[in-house]
Amino acid sequence: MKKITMASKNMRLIRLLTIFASFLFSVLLVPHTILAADPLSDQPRWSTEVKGGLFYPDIDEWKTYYGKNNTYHLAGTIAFKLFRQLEVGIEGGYIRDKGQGFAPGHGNPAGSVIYELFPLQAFLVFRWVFSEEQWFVPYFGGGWTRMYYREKIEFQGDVKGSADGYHARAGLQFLLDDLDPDAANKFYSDYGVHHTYFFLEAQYISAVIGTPEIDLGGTSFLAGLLFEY
Amino acid sequence: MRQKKLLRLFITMSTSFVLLTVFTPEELTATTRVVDPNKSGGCLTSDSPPCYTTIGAAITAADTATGDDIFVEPGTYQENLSLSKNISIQGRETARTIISGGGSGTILTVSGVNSITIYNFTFIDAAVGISVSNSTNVDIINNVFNLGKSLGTAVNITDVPSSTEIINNTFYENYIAILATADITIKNNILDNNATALSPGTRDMGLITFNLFNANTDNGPSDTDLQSTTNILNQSPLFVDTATRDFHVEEGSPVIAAGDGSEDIGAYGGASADTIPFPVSILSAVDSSVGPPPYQITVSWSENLSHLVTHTTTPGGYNVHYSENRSGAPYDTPIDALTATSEVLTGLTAASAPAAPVIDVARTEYANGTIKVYWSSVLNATGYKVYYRNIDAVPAPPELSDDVMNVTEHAITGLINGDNYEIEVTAYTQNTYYIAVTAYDSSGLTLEPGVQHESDYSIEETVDIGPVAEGLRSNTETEYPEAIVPHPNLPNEGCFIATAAYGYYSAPQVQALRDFRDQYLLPNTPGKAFVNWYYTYGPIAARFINEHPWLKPAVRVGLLPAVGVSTFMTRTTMPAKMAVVIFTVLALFFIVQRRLHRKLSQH
Repeated sequence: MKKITMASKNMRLIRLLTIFASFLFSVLLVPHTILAADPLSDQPRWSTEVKGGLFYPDIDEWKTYYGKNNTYHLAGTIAFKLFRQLEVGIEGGYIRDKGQGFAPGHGNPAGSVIYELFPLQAFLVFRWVFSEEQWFVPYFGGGWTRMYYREKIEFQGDVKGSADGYHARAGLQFLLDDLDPDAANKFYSDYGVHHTYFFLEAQYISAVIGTPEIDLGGTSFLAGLLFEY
Repeated sequence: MRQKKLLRLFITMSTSFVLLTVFTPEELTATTRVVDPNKSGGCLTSDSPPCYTTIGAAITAADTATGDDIFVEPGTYQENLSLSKNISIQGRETARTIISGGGSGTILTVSGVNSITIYNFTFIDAAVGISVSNSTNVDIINNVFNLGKSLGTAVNITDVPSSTEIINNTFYENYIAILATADITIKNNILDNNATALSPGTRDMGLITFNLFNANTDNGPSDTDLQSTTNILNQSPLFVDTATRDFHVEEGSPVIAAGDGSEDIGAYGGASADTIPFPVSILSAVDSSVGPPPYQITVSWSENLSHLVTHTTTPGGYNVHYSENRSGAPYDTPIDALTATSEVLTGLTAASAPAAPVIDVARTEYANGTIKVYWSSVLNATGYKVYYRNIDAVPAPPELSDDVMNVTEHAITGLINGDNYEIEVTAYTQNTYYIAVTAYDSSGLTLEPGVQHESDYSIEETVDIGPVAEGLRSNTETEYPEAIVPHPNLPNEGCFIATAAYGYYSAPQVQALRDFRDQYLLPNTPGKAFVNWYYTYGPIAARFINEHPWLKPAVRVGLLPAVGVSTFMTRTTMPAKMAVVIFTVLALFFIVQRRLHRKLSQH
């Protein structure tokens, strides 16, 4: 008779939970019952995102000069749907923090510096849409990034420039239409917005400049609203 | 059996009591609503009494069932109001509670009310001051109407019974003072300098009594009719000053005690008249100290000519109010100047030197050409001076100072990066006296500025007394400024080669080149063309230098003349530039002369 050890018991439990989670996820991706006379059945051609969150820069010793290891990141996108699942678009963002610079003679942080990034991005994004009524839609994408930067140094002036790079992003979007179908229908009839999603996204940007190289990018965790129209 | 009866009685009485208590209507009480747009902190919803910034808002909120009162603080209100509620509207001070129609329209339209009182306002600049229709028991009392002789009808009354009363008002320079299609009570009014005083002229003269008619183009009723009912004709009311709309009357005016019940005729007679004299103006307030200390200030002010102030037998007078180092009412000290129009405030003191502040050396900040210091605040200080001195420069430059007013931090700018500076701070103070004057009437009753028997304060004057007393110096902070390298240290567009050679964008040498670009190259076309060319090819050279760091010292040496010229051109004054140019030209001239002389002598 085969002995069942505690470790193998745990492994079975984990396997079972994984299978159950996968099943649940698959169910969530399957479209729910279609509402009668649903006006949202035709497909959207454009999408717009408004999002914000935290940006974790890839710059060494960031916390020493800016007090914490992240700052805020705001962005907006507009994209055209080549297919229902595939979009091409552009994104404009704004990242800002206020901290100190370095005083070479004193050998410590000093002064006041406002650090700003303006990432301008062109991207392709794939949205895993099977149905217009799908509650959860995973997506991923990426593309080219032009990172404009500005450092405002008190009593000194500005340092400005830009660097090229790339970015990748992935996230999960949640259909909001069913929370208030009346509002969704009105939004569609008044403004032509087919769907409204709430989404969570992780975004990685890399844009290297200078000698020695400095990567102006980092990782952002964003939340926002997606409008498809 | 008896117990049952008692129980039934008890239940009946208890039930009746409860029902009566629950269903008896709450007693209705009138609410006073205050209109005060200048209230300190603004009107709040929690204010008691309720406060409003406009008269219209107060009227809207008023409850007609309770007969609310609206009390309006002094100010100029430009409003067109409609009133169909049984309420009373009262200004605090007739002369300074002004409602303007902005040159057209009707200021106050009253319709469909059966009890209303409007008193203690000045109505100006409108086609109609007050229009009353379909109403009863309308009392218009102690108001001034000054709408414009070619423009306005002060009071226009249609379709009202005789219960309407116009009592103790002053009508000055209106097109029509009173236009009334019905016979109403018109008593104790001054009608002066109007185009038409009463219209139509044919009316029940028994209701028109104790008024003064003067200098109207048309009085309406005939002089004979007017005189038959105790009206006064063709005598100047002797207003104090019509230009400032002070329609109080001077001593000797025919309206004094000439009204019904021996009241004064006009807006300032009768029981409902406001008791606040018109404010005076300070003409001068100067430090008149002779060989101080002690110090003194002489204040003089305009006279209030109202007979209520200048009464010959029991005159009123003036109060001079002042505070040391504190502005605004209430003031610390009132002095009764009696009937004089000037007063010397004596026994004033100069300020004593404040203590030394303490520089918080732990908080000192430094940046490009800048040192920022923080210090402790000092009691009674009215300002601070920051002294600083370059202790590295040879020869030693003079000490400089910045007067930074009443703050406890200061960034000293324009310093030389890398040079040490000694910094000290002092506090200073000077006594300032804040002075206002009021007029009070001859009533002998309790005075309260702007409220009863005493005018509101004049516009405040300030006088500094004694020398500025500067305290001892603080501890000494020694620090040097330097350019800050931002983090991350990113390349800047422009000045590529210099940035690469000097290592960072904010190096002072790079800054000098940048300043030269901004001041001398970008303002002209050839300069712009050079900058564009440089922006195209500069980054290539900069990249090469960055890839070959051993080149940097050589490039720095090569850039020295450019940096030197840029520094000279951007950091020196015009006389210095002229001096150097003249010196250079002269030097060249002498060198050429000398060479020529040498050549000639060789030949």
